[in-house]
Amino acid sequence: MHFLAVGLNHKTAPVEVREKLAFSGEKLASALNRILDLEQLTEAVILSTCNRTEVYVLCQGPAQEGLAQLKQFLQSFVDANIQVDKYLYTLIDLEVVHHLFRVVSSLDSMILGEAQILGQVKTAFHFALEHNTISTHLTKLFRQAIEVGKRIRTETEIGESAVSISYAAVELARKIFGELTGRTVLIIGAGEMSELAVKTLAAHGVSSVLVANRTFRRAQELAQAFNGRAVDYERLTENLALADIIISSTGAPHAVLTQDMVKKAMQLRRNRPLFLIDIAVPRDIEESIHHLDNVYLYNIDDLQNVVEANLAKREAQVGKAEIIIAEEVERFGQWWSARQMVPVIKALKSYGHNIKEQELARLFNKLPNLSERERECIASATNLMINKLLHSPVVSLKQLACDNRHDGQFYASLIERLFNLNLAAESETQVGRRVASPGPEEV
Amino acid sequence: MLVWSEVLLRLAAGFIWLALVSNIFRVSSKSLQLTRMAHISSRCAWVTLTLSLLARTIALGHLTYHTLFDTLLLLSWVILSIYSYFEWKQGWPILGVVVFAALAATSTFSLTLERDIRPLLPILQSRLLIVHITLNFSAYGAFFLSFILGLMYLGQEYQLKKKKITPLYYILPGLETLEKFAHTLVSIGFPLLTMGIVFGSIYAKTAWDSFWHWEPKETWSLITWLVYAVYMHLRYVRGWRGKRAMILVLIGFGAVLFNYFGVSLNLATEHRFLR
Repeated sequence: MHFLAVGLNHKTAPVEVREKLAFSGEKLASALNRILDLEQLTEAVILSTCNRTEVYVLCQGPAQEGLAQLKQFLQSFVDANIQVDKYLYTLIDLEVVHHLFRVVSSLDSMILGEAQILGQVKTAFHFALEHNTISTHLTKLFRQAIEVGKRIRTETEIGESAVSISYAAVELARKIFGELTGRTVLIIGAGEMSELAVKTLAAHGVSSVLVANRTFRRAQELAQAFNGRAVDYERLTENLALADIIISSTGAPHAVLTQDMVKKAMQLRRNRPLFLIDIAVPRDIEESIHHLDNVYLYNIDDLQNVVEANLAKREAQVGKAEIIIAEEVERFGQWWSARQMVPVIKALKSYGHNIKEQELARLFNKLPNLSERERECIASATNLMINKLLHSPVVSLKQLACDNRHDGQFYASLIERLFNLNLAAESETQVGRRVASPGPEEV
Repeated sequence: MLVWSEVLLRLAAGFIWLALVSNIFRVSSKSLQLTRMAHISSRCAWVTLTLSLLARTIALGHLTYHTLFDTLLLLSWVILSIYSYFEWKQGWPILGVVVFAALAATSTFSLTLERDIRPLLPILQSRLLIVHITLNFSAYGAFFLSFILGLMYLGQEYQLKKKKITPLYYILPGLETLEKFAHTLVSIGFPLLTMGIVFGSIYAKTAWDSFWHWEPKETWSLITWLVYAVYMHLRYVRGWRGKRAMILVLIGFGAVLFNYFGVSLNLATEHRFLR
């Protein structure tokens, strides 16, 4: 039995290929079913996002055969002239576990530490659950993966600091004001960037938006879009006194805000801190304003520097995350090995049990005059013998399973050979195809 | 009882060190276990310190404040109590590091100090005196924390003005929050100090028949009071905020420190500690 994964991502494949292999809704459901119709593949999950498509399966046969089937399956979605094989990476067993844990922790993402991937993995998992395409093994794998993702987000700072300009602006605003609830933002001019910044600020508690524009009508339009209020462009100083955060992005060739204006505004606002963000090129706000007490002026380059520092900070967390992942992969490996022992142990026990039953029947046939009590005593004595005999190998097998995977497998096959156990017949009854989804464990 | 007080004090010192270490690690790594450990050890430190103080008070029959040891104990307790509020409200690891570093130093230092109990002079057995000292030390505790917050403010302000991102940028909280809390603490400490001085002078009247003697401790208390008075005035009337206001807070605590250690230990004063 093997865990297998085949996939491609933003690093290995161009968007033309990725888009062909994007699955969602109906297409996803039918793809999952098609995989399960393939030989020996018994569980399947497809993780499909704009940056990656990965197929996770449980394969009952040899790994290479399973992988070949999956590759062929993916090839069927792209044009014949595209050789999909060269974009794909293939993973087997614990490699699959390790990879999925890295993906869910966003170590494999385009933007390190981004939060969406955890949700996307959850969605892929729930989709498979709802469509009954997974059972014990992949359920366990994905549940643990989701836990790992959460654990890494809480125990490392990989997702902490802002890595986009607009978030960097919010982060700085927080470092200046602490709380952003109830603050006011004033936008001077308009542009895509300021729009984004205002939205992000609003999401973090900034409650009122003022809009100033050279043409009042345009200001009114914008104000409506932001659910704010248009103010008089000619009376900027007074409005500076009202707002805590200023975002300026006019197309003006000269400074829109001068040091004198801000000085006056600071008097009006009794020195409460003021945060100015200048995202216009050429700049709108006189650089010297930054030297006034309680005034902080950041331009687009400054924000970019903050973003870079934050990215470096995230990268510094990767090592810590990798340690957690290694730990979790080992934990999963132990579960899996113990799990692989289950058929051997079962077969061994029933082997002993069968011998006992046969011999007892024979004995009782030979000695028909035994009383009920004597029979019971003999039965329980033989029972004890078998149990005691098997106790130590069963315990050792379980321990070996947790100790080291390869060792465990070796001993399992040794037992299988020595006792001539027919494992294939055993597992046939256990692993049906399309097993019903497992019980309602907590995700 | 005294034995208990000693044992509890050593325990408290242990918990304080533990809280210091776990907060240091908490600054650089985000771990739930560390946070829990920091919180539990700081609570344990507070409980053991409180019990130690109580045990000593019971053993002596009254609140103790006559030796440097006793005042350090009382001051540590006040600081830890105020810090507990911040831990509950904000939980900034960096504040924990600074506060527990100071507490670890004082508690370890205080263990080496002379603390025999001797019969008190009749003149020092006064309720007014107890009120005077309690008020003053509560004020000192508040000033100490406002000083720490002021330092944190200046650190963060420096970062934001220089626009150079160092690890401090991430560790330190937002400016206005820091300033608000520092201001609140001074607003609490200032009236306490005022009342403490008033009660002190009433006591002086009953003991020495004069409200004010211009002895060094009194003079320095007045200087301390004036610095904080100037801060309160400028903040309310002139809208002084931010860096300049925080520097005043630092100066105020400088005066407190000199008043506490410098004057009581070195200068000739009725306020000297018993040795």
